[in-house]
Amino acid sequence: MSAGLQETLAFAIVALAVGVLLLGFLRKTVAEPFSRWLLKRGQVKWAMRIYPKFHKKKPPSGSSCCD
Amino acid sequence: MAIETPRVALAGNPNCGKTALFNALTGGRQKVGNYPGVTVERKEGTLVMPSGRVLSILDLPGTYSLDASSPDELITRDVILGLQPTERQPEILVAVADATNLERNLGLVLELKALGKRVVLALNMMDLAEKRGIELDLQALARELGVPIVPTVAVRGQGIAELIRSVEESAKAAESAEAAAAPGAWKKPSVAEIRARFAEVDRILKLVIRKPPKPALWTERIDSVVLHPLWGSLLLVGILIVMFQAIFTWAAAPAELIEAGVAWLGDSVGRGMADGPLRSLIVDGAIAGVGSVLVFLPQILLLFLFILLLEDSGYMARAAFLMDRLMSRVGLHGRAFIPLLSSYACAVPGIMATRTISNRRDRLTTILIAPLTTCSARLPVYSLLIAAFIPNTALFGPIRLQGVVMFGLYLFGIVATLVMALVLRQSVFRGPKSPLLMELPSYKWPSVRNIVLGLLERAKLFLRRAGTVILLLSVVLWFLAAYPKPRAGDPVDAAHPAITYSYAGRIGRAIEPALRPLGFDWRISVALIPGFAAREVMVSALATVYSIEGDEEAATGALTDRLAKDWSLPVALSLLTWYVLACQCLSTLAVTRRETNSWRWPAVMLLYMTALAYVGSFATYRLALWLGLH
Amino acid sequence: MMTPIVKLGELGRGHGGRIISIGGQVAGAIDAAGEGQDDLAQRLMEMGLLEGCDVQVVHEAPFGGDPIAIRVRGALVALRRSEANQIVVDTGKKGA
Repeated sequence: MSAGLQETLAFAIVALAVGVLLLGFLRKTVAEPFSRWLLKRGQVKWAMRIYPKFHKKKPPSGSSCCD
Repeated sequence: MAIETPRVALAGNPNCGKTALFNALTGGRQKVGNYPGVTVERKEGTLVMPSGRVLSILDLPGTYSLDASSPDELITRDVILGLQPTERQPEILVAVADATNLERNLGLVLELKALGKRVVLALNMMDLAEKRGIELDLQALARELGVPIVPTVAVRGQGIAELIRSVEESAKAAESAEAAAAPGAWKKPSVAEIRARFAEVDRILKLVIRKPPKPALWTERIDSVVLHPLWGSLLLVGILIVMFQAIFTWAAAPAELIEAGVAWLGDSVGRGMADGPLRSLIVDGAIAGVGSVLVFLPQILLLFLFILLLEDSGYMARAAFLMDRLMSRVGLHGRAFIPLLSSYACAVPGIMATRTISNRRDRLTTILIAPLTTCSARLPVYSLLIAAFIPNTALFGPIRLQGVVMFGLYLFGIVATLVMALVLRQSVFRGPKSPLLMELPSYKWPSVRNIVLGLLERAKLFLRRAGTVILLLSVVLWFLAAYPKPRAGDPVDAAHPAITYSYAGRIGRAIEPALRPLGFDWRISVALIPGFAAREVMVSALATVYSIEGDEEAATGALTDRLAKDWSLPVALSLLTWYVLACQCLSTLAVTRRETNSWRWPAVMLLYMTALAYVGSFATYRLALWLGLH
Repeated sequence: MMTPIVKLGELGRGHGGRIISIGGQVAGAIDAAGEGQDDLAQRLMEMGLLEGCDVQVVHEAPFGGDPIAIRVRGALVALRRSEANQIVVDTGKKGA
């Protein structure tokens, strides 16, 4: 493997790492609080769409446990 | 209402063996997470019934009543009542009661039953009850309570099949019946209602108990020593000594094995690839970075082994009882003892262990001071600097100066922790003491299954973190230290190693003026930057800055000589002070963010610790210069 | 002992009695649905510490004998003396 190719690959990996870290950071700082804010308002469906980590299980369709 | 997966929730008093029952029901099929917005652990598992039906089982935090006072208890109440928006209301409640203490445990059972839900009572710890000679009329109990009763011994898996059958019957009944009680059909009981509830308990027990239990002789005998003011204190000190000894000596062999494995992996990959940036990224960045954290796995697991053993046997609450007076002198709760103790291995599990503290002020104080305790990641830095600067003169007998200095650094950490606790409780977290109020459970043999499951869970969490965040950060740090490369005309020699020209080098140079008053030159400043990701990385960063090559051991030896020649004693003392006090650990900040659910507390932690370290190092440096040390 | 009616927090190891009041509430008194009720007293009650129960101080912590461990309703409960002072006991009755 040439040094040039190595460098390109290395940069790509670093960029990927920065991207993933940034994404995680944004999820936690923006998506999670926003989702929680939605939850408080009772917008469970939207809250789940934005930050699905809270919700491993879907609520039963017919139930009205959350008013 | 058609229900796809019936939902079962386990509820019971603390120490009733609920978690053991949950483990027995679900085996390894568990998912551990958090409830949104709070750091209450959420444990869910699945159970396949003989009929092939699947049940989802939720383990709720232990509570004495639905009238919640801590975040844990609040979750229990809200889930049961269907008030937790992210959680489906369970159709069936399995009330878990300690058969040896029905006088108190039945209070919650009555409260649950009054909700109008389907309740199955698991009468747990039947073996202990039998041993203590209790004779119960189970039929009378079932009749009086109006719920099915299953006697169980969760730790040995007895009665589990019967419990599953009973739950299945309830599930069938729940399906055919109309929807369960409306959510929120509960209101805070008045004092009179609590009295009435326990009066009902007493009435039922009069009918049910044929023969009262003998006192728990063994627990009383053990407690006469363990809770004895003198012997109990000595025993606690003894347990702590054994624990520390174990963490630092037993963990050494597996840690070396991991180290060797990482080195071997690095070597193999290095040999298989041509020299170049990608190889450097993989070997010096990813493998070395993740490896430096993986080395702590044995220590962390050993620490948790001790904590789980002490917890499961019933000792932990007693340690909090013994320590409460000393801890409350600086405004801490007795329960803060365990998290602070854990922090000696690593502040991350320590901060996670603060979950047992229900009062918010108590908990935040404990979280903020936990990183001041001397965690094991500081050891490599201490060892390096002590070896370089402190002569190993014998003081008396086997006691040598180097050992005394090491001990002094630990003592310094303890003093800093206690003083900060006092300061925080007098200022930010001023307020009345929260009550101690906790049950001291009967002693029992720890269950192997619970311990193994607990350890596996910790190992999984730790490895997942090492494989994700730490790996990514290592890659980024590698980039900062490697790029940009020196240009063609730049001199690269001992005075100007390649790292000088990199981003890390530039940042180091940029912050050097700020650190100058502490006696730190640009090399130390540069090394502090990767050292921020994890303290012990500082040692390898220093080696890089001094461009010393070779394997780690030789490098450390060479580094010791270089430092002794290059630095003065005041600089070394200043840096040691910095390492005692500074918050040089991303993981700690990350876990604080997660546990407090806000960026404010990690920011406060970073700021106050940096300020403390700066002032401390400055004072140390000036004092040492003034004393004429060199 | 001068009077058999004392606060639980004032008792030494091995002493005890029957609870006659918690948080200033006397047994049998009618209270306004727990309103204004001290939170600590209510938590003590939820743990089963109620009027008519026998309690006994069975352990004292080192460094000044505080907190204490009491036996009540077949369980061992640790609490500080200041918290135990919410509980008034009659040492003349059983349990001493």
